[in-house]
Amino acid sequence: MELWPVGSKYFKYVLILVGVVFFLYVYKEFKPEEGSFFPSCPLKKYTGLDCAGCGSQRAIHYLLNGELLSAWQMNPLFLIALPYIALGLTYKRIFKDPKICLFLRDKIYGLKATYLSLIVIVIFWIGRNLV
Amino acid sequence: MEENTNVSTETGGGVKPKNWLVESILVTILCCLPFGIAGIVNASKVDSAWAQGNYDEANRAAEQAGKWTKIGFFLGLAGVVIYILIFVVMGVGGAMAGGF
Repeated sequence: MELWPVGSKYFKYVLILVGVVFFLYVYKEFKPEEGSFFPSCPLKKYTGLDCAGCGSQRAIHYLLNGELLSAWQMNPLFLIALPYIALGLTYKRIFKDPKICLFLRDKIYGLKATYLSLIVIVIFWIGRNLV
Repeated sequence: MEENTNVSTETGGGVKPKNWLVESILVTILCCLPFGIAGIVNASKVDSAWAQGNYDEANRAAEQAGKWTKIGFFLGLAGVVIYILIFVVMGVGGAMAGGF
């Protein structure tokens, strides 16, 4: 085994793991609303309006510290979308039964789901700037 | 990004292309709303075209959906990397003196 196994197939995964751990550490330890090194949303920065994703960084911070309610207050859509996205990215590996996979692909992540996501995102986006 | 491999349909157009819905939503709420929306709109085109039997159209929409989602993803990634670089260049020491 080389000391710096750039070419090995595990190197990519090690790199990703290091990145993820670093990311989680930074987001757990620092408050995005206080740390100047967190990227801010251009829309919010220049217009003062919230986009549909604004508050996600803060939500991640509170989520990592186990403060569900604070995370919800930062961006409820992010909290709702998180399990949906997690399942969508992994279901092919979790479920081997093609019937379940087809059901998920065509019903849970199909056309109606797509329209619904679009509508929910746009309504949430507009709504949160009115309230 | 994994491909749509083991899930095939009974219809005549082969394997339904990946619609990028999940990735588009992720891009929408984590970084780049316009690109994410473009991805979701194309995701809807993938499924509606496929349901009508327009397999070429579905494949084209899938390509578009993937394109916008990836643009959003890499733009977001680049943004984060640039932010980290700026932070490092400006000096971790300065930030620490500032009370971290």
